[in-house]
Amino acid sequence: MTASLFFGLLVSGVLIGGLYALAAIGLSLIMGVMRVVNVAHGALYMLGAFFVYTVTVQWGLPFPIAMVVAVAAVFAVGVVVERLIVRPVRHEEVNVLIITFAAAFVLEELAKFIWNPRYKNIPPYIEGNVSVGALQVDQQRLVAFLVAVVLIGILFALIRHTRTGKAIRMVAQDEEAALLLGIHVERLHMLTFGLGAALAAAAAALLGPLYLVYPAMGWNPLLRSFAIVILGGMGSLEGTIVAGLLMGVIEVMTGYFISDRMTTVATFAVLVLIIFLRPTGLFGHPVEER
Amino acid sequence: MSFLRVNALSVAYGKAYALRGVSLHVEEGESVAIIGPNGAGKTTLLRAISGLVRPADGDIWFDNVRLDRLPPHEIVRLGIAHAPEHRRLAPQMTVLENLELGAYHRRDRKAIRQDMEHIFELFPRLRERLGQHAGTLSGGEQQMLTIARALMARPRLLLLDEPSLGLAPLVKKSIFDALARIQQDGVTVLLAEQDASLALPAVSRAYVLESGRMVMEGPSQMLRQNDYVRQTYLGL
Ligand SMILES: Nc1ncnc2c1ncn2[C@@H]1O[C@H](COP(=O)(O)OP(=O)(O)OP(=O)(O)O)[C@@H](O)[C@H]1O
Ligand SMILES: [Mg+2]
Repeated sequence: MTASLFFGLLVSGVLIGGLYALAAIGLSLIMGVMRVVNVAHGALYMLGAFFVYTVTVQWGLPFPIAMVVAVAAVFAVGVVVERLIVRPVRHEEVNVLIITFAAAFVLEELAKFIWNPRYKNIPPYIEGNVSVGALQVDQQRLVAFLVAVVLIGILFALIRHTRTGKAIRMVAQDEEAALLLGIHVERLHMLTFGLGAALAAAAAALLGPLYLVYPAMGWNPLLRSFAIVILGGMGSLEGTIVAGLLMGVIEVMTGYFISDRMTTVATFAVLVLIIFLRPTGLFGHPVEER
Repeated sequence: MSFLRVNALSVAYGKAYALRGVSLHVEEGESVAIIGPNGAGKTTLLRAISGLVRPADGDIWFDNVRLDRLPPHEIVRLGIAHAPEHRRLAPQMTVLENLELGAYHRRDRKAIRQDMEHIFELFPRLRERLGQHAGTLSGGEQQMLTIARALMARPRLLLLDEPSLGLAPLVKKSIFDALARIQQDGVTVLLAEQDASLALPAVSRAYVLESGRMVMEGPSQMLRQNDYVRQTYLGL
């Protein structure tokens, strides 16, 4: 294996990994702030792809508009899902798992009903290659990666520096104390859930032309996102990003050296290994002290 | 009508009653303590006032507004700040961020800055630690930050739960010195404290809570001379 081949694989791994991180970070955010697992995350991702399909292919509008529509629409769906089904059972973890699992199926059936179950394509939004050093890189992948980086940067800035972001971090660290500070915890939960869903939709939009669009398309990214969140350490957004990049590289390497069909197996192997060897993940802290 | 009035309040956790028919009042500008042993229900009473637990019976009024059906965030807006037991800071946020969160419901930026300056006069240690994570502070500093965070809400009524818990005697004293100055600033204080020898001298009136019932109340001067209180709570 030559150094340039390795470098090429590394670059494509990192490029796709940035989008994996974007797809997973919403799940990570919801876990960290609300301490619930949103199994409908993949279905929300799927909805994002379908909205992009409708706006670009069916309505013939430009991709950036489609992405904005998809993100906004899935944000709204996320808010409704939180309000209607998550909030009432939020304190029973298992019920949240089951009810969001059920919601994923319902969203999938709705997608079949609204759009029909056939495979669809989203046309590329940018075509051609660019040279990065000696390397030829698909321009669309590069742009998608850069947009993902910007979106994650915006998320961090919001959480670190805005009043609402600080309140969200307070809720994550001590929900009851947050109430005593006058923070409307339930409203921030809705916002967080919507934001998590919107981030999934953004990833789905950016990756849209790379994959087929169909109602069950969300399960694979869901599993991958779980693996990334656990690898990075639950509750750590920074960990999620590092783990996302890592997962991209692992999948690309697996695809090249073993087989494309083995990438999901590799994802699963990483998930199992990390749970066995280091359950707190790369950046997790065992239990938050108070 | 009193500033704060609790009428025949009962609170249950499941089937176990933590408070049974408890009544209490606090007048504006006054400092009042609730003393009592472990598990008496002091924390539960403060939590009921803040809206964290719903009473099974009875009612709570603050400045002619009924509190016991309001959500906690609205109670804060009425002017009640609660420095809870065990501090409950955001350990992974800085001292400054914790203070900012204390003023979360306020929009008067300028006044917030002034209040923060005032708080630094009260607790100079906090100014030195502004950029440090709250979780890395000493126990005494964390308690100071808890009180400071509550003051950032610019409360009319301050609920203080066990501010001396787990602190060395000298640190306890400095916390209670700060409390005296907060009272001088005109903040009404309701203090829950196991350590009666600290609490009674710091307030004008006190209640004795035992197993969820009020067993005594009166001016703290009087309670300090009461034989039962002397034996049970002051160890004299
Ligand atoms: N969340 C809860 N669930 C069930 N029981 C509780 C809960 N919180 C308190 N209790 C019970 O209610 C009673 C009163 O507790 P509370 O914490 O109000 O007492 P306290 O006077 O503050 O005690 P301490 O001095 O130890 O802080 C105790 O018997 C306690 O075990
Ligand atoms: Mg207590």
